[in-house]
Amino acid sequence: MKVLIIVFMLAKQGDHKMQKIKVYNRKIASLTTLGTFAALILSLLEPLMGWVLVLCACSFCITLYKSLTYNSPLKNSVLNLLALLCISILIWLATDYGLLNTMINLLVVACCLKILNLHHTGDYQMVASIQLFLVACGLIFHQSLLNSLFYALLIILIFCVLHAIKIKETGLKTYLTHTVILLLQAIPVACLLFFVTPKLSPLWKMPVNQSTKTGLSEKMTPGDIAHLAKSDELVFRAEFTGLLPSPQQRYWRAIVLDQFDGKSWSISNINTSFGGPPTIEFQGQALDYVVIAQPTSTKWLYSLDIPVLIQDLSTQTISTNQQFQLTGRTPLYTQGLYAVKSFVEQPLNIYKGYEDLTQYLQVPSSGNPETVEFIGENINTSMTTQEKIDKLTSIFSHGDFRYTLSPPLMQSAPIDEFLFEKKVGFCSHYASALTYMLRLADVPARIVTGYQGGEVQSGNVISVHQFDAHAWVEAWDNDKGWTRIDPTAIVAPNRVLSGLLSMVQNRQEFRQQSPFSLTNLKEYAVFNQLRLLIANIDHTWDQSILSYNQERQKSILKKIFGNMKAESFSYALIGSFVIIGLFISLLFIPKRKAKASDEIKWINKLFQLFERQKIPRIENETLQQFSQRIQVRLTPQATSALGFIVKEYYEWKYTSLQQQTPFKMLKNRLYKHIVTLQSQFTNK
Amino acid sequence: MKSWTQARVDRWLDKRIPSSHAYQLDVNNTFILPTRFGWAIAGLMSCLFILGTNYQNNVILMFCYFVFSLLLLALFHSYVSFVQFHVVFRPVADCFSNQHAQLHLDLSHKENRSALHSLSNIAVFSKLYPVYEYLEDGSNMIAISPFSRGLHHVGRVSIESIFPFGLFRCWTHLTVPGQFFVFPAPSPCSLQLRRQNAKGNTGNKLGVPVTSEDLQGIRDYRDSDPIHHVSWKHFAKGQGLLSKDFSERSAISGWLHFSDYFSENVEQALSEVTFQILALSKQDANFGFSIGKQQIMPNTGMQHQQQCLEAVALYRHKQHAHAINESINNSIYASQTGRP
Repeated sequence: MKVLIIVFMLAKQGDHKMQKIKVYNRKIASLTTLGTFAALILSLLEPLMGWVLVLCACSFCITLYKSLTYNSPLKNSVLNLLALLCISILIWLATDYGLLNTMINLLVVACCLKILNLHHTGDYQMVASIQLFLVACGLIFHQSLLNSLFYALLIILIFCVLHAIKIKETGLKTYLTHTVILLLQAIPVACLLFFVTPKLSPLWKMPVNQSTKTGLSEKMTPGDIAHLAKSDELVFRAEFTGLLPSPQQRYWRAIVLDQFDGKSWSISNINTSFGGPPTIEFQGQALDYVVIAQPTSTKWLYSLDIPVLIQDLSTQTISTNQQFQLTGRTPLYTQGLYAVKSFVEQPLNIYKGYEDLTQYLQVPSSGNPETVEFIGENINTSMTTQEKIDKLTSIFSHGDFRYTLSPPLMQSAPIDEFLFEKKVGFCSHYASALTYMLRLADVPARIVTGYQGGEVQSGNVISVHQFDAHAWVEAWDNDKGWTRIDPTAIVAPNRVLSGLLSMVQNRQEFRQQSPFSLTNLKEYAVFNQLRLLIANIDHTWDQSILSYNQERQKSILKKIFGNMKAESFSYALIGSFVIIGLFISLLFIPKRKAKASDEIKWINKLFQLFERQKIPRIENETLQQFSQRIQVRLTPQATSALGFIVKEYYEWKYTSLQQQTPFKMLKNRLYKHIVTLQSQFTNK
Repeated sequence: MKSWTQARVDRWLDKRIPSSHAYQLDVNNTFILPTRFGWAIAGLMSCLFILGTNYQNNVILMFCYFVFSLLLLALFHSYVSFVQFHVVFRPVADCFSNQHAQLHLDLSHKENRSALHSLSNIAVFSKLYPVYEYLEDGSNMIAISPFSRGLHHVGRVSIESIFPFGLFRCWTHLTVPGQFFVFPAPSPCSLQLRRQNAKGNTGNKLGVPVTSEDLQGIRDYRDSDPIHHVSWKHFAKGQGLLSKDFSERSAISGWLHFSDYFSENVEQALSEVTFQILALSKQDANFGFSIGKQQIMPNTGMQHQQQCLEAVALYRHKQHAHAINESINNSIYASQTGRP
């Protein structure tokens, strides 16, 4: 207790002083802070509100001006007032923006205001802590390898500023190298801790970001998916352990839409968890794969038909339903990994007899009269389901339909317009029209949206991007159950076989709409290789770091220690502490002695030369003393040579020459004289 | 209560870090704790852990462990870079109360210190004086103020470093040995000398101003020179008219009485007396000084001036008796350490 009081009293003395003290390297520090600030804001553009961005721009300009010229500090009262105003606006808007976004905005505002007044040590330290927190916020949204590297660079720069403001002034390069060395020393310890510290499951539920709205939506108006097709963002990667699915099998189911209002399709609220057969026996080939899904705004996950869940996400459980969908409880706010087994050859008839099919015949009571008339003329009740389907799909093969990424607007009666006037559309147009016609023809049908295709990487990984978004039709056949019909495949078979970008025309459209996408470089072999390499590295990163979880940790420890017991876990922990201790002692135990420098070696050699002639050196004698003592025993040439050596050496050693010329140059200059000395000795 | 704990801490520190004129910073005299910023970063680290765990975000967790290991390494770097330093306190010179006392300390570091630690900056400060200065290698003069008239010792000064990243603060409280006088600031006034001291004792056979002359050299004759200064010896040798040059020492002598200057404002009077002591000393006057009950016999030279000034500095001082004792100790210390 006594000691504690003493320590406390000691600690209290003086810490406050540090806050208001001279800052070194002001210019470098403030410019670097400004740079990291700008980079952070640019990486966090999405969750930021407009007015916060304006504030950022203003404070950036003001601080840039201030750091280039010296100005007196701004009044704190003004800044406090501004801060109060900003905080009240943020609180007012908090309900609309969600907790996480509000917090990020708050941090950014705090950073903006604090950066205006960079004067004391404390100011820099506060800005640095806010920036470090913002880095963490950025990592919530983006965790890919590139983003992680980008944030690592920012962390280095932030610590570089913290280092620079308190050390003696030297060049920028020195700060950077010193900071990088100091930070690099921390990395081995961090990695060890990362792999050894027990992984916990989430402690409580965190606020979820509301603004990222990418991916499929639960309501589809034909033309919507075309919007997604312009994005080359990654949706998920699937890593197969065995066979890959054939291109025709790569229909990644996400959402089933069954409610049509004449224009758009949505999810009805029918019960999808009706009873089923007590045991389901799957037949045929099964594919095993692990999906690493990127964060998305919907709770729908992706799988091939018929999915059986093997491993849940680490953050939440996944449920399967009788529409063969995988759903999480909440949207995936962070990258997630789950394992699935898909029975691709199993017909979708396992719930036959249990399922209520009336919902799948629902059509709006009015609208699209031409289509209704067309069905009345061409379909009669005596036809079998398969005949109806064949009849209706043949429309697409015989009519002059065209597939496009930028379909024209069809508003009043979209299906009529599409089928009989424009005849140009995207997959959602085809799926929508066919489902509608099937329902009119009394065939239960529904739309499935999801992704089709994907790019195969390194043999067993399929990457699926937003531009692979697709919509297809499922029709109920009493024998086969739900059968997949893809009208798009009829119009544009290449779309299904080799992907959206296989068609020249689509490629051009895609390029016009997203000119900066790396995918544009696909045509050039070298760039394509490079692109695939980057994708591979990215996938390895996802696999090894992002999806490192409790199970992985256990299996790694298992590999090292054999069977898992509580003991071996504690051994692992103790072992890692020992390793950390060793590492630190390695860094800090003082080095015995600096390696004998060139100079000392040279002098010793010189003395040895004399020693061989039986002229030993007396202990602690300097070169000068030595040369004066032995002069009498040398030939005149040797004396002059030695005299020259001594003179040159002392001139170099004890004047500013030492800084200007390296020892090597002196050595070279004196070499001639040493040779003279040697020759004198041999002559003797 | 506070002063009681403070006193305890001081006593503990005195035992822990005994006063010395040279200190090698090491494990015995170094304290280390996180700075406020260090605590903030530790807080950030726990936030990162919660964030990383709740979002199951391994990159954030990695960031968290990175911050942890950085804190751990910073602790060692902070300590190791701090104990490289060696501090030597030079005696503090006496000064006048209108000047700053100069704390004189020499800073050096171990030869084999790592290049990483070569940029470490250490600063000296004290809670007694408003001073915070970064130290350079070699000799450092740090102005400390304010001091009133009297005999002082600097007390304890602190040396600290927050070297890598400002996460940890290494510090030590070192006692500066020795004492120094602060004399009143000189204040000009007219000279009042008496022939005798208060007891009627002149202390000097010559109570009146006398002129004594010392031969300084030979120079060319000037018209104003008295004829008896001409060096006839040189003239006889045919070297022309040369004058013997005498330095004129109008040696004033007498007794300086503090009572002559005494007024309502004692400090002002002391300042005036100080001025006179300096002035008389400069003129090389042979004077005695009487202040209060203390009599200083007439003499000349720097030592005499010092004696008089010390008497002024200690006049009616609270710690008068104590200070004189200290002064004796001080001179013993000075003789031990070779202080002039």
